[in-house]
Amino acid sequence: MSYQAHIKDTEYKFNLTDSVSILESAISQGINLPYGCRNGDCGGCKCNVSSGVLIDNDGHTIESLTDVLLCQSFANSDIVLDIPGFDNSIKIRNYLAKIIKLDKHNNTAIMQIQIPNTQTFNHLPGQFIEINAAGVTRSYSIANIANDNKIIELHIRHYLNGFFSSKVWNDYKVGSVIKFKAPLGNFTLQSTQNPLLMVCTGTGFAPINSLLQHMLQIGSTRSVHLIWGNYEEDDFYCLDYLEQYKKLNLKLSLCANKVQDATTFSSLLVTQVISQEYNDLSNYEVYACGNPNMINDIRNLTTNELNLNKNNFFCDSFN
Amino acid sequence: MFCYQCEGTQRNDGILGCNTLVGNCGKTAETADLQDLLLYAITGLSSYATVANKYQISKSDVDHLVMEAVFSTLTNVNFDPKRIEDYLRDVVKLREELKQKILDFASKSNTVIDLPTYPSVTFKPANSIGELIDQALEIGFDARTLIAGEDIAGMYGFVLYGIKGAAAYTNHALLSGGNIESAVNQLHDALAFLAQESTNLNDYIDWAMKVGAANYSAMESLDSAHTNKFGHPEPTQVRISNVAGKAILVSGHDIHDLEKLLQQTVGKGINVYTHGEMLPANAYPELKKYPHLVGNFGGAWHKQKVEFSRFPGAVLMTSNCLIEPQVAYKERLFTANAVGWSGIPHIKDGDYTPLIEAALNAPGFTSDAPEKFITIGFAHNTVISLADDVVAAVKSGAIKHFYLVGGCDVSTPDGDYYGDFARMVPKDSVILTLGCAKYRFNRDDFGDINGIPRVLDMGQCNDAYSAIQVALTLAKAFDCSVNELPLTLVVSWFEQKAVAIMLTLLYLGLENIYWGPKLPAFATPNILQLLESRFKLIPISTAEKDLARTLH
Ligand code: SF4
Ligand code: SF4
Ligand code: FES
Repeated sequence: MSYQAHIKDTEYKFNLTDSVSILESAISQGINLPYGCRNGDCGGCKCNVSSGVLIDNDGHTIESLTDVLLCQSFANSDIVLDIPGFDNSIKIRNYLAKIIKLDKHNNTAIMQIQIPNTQTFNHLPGQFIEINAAGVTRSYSIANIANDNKIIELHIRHYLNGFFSSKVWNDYKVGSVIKFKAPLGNFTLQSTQNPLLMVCTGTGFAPINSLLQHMLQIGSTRSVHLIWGNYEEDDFYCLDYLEQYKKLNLKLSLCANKVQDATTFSSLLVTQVISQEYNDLSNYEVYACGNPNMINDIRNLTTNELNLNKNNFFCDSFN
Repeated sequence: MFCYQCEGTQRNDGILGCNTLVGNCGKTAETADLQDLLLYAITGLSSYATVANKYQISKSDVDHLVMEAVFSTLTNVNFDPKRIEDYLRDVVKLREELKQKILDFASKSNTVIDLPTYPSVTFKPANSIGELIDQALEIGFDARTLIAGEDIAGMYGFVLYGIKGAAAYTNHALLSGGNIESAVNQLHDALAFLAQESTNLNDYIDWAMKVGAANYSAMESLDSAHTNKFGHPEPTQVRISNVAGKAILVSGHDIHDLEKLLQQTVGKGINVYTHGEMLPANAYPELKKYPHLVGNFGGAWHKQKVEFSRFPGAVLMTSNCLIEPQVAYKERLFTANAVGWSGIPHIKDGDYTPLIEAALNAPGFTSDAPEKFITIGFAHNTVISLADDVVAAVKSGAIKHFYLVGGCDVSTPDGDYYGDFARMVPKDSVILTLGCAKYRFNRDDFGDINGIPRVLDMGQCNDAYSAIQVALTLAKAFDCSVNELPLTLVVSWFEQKAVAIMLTLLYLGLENIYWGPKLPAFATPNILQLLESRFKLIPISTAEKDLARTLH
């Protein structure tokens, strides 16, 4: 059977069948819905469905239409998706790029790739790219704003036996050519004046850095509290980037599990910082990027306990 | 997609080249990517073809397919992704068959044959269009630019586009029954060179010259195919106003299509008109003899949206330059040979019945328009027969200078330069012209010098061959080199046939050629510098300035 999906309050529509996931259908028709793993693990494709009948992999009707994993859902009727601020103006496509810089800071690589002069590259701050190495895909956030000089910065954490990170550590060098799909994701800054709480762990700093760059570029005066967590002090990288954000209305909390330098770092968990400093987030927007557990904890904390409007919680989760 | 093969390419945002979802010509990203992949596969097939040629293993099926498939990738030829995909799969199929033939030959004749090992020789096209497009990314200009740099990519383009133009002429020659063997084998060699993805700039310069030579052979075989089959063009008054009656318009370069169509329309009460680059067909004796070939309608290719809309009959596009068909004439437009557009009927096996029916169903012209004529038909045979008069006129000072003003017309006002230039040329000079750029001035009255018309229309763009023969004859008569003749070439380019001709002119050592309107996007600043310093090429400026420079 075939159906149609409509994205609420927009002109975007795409076709659905009961045998291809809603997410895959959207992507194949050039509709840039947010996603990450496509396996039901990361939660990146979570979306509220305003109307329609959905079924899961086994053909059972999905009861709740809130926070539906679109990569695991199929349509059994026409549906309406509720994605506030959805923007599909930038087309997703494949690119080639050359590695022009590859620096390693402890266990994080800062990799810059450059798109050939034959192509234009446009993305929204906070979006990610999906690298395809020998048929295996891995997503990385764009850590900067690449629209002008076509140089994309990626922050890549080293994982023991990590497929892509070991390539970065062992195989890739300046001059290597990689292939990727972009731009992807909807982790982008809403154009409001609401105060911002930005929370990240590890290389979740990458898209946050892109958002902060963007705020600098547009001369934003919004208040922003950046809470960045890592296991160890040494896991922090690019701390020098933070200097420039002094021009913003920025408050900074750097959290680590093991702390030696207590003037710079706090030994609280990122969630503890939030509970300690806030009791009402009802006029806030929260941007969270990092591992799925942290994101879930923050989502629960901010929306269940601190009055954050669910629609003002934006996340980009990765494993 | 990335394509920068024609003059009309995108020049925006600091990027030279069409790289969005559709090119400026209307070619979609899908078609562009498939064409890249097709050409890549062809470099693999041609690599085997060079081996087959060495051992005289028959491969005419390969020759025919490669020439037509390469032709389909020229600007404004084939926009239909399905047709391009079909060519791609046929190319890979023939590649495997040819490989087997070579292996069989080697074992039968006990010969050790080294087979080429370039990646394109073993390339396997994916099953779906989506995956094919993915494959295209890794072998196209993006990859080449990243790996080898912009200069190498640009020179690769120069050689490839020259090959495209020459392959198109070879394909025309083949269809008109010409002997294409020499041209085809030179082109296989050049395609096999591209398969190597050399990163040495000098290699590309050498091969650009070889492609110039290959194109000379291609134009030569096309010229003899045309003249053998249709006779030598003779000075002819061509009617350029319509005649009452049902009508068919034939555009593009493939004269043999016109002949077949004339044969199939005998006694049907249909008048046949030429359009664009088909105009020169009116001067060939074997075509002139058909009374229902009544004249020419319209001008250069880029006016076809308006002209085809106004033409009250059926239209046939035999080669480039096709642009997006409009609703007004979609129903009565047909393509032939390498040309294609999704949804437009394609003539197969030379059977024009559907076209003829469409013409009979269309209203046709209801009345005769007042008679108007232009004179054409000054190909090499005619001009060389006038050589004595011409030499005398030069010696007496009646003719001071020759200008060749021609080539491809462009769709922008930049092309006005060529009309302006021709009109400014002093009265004591003769203008040779060819290609569709002549429509910028060929309806004007230029008068004559001692009975020699001041504008000599030599024919189609491939009749640059005629111009070369005339120049060589004059050089001989004056006992000097072609570069020492009082001759200036002012060339307009639009697509890859014109690139091939330029390479031929450079290969022949011609200097101080004025080239425009806009220089190719693939000519990076370094390539441009090379063209200017080594080949003394001159980018056009304004007609006044350039003309003054030629007269100093
Ligand atoms: S043929 Fe010309 S206009 Fe068409 S896509 Fe290529 S460069 Fe652009
Ligand atoms: S001269 Fe060039 S532009 Fe004109 S019709 Fe021939 S190929 Fe096309
Ligand atoms: S994309 Fe659906 S859960 Fe990751």
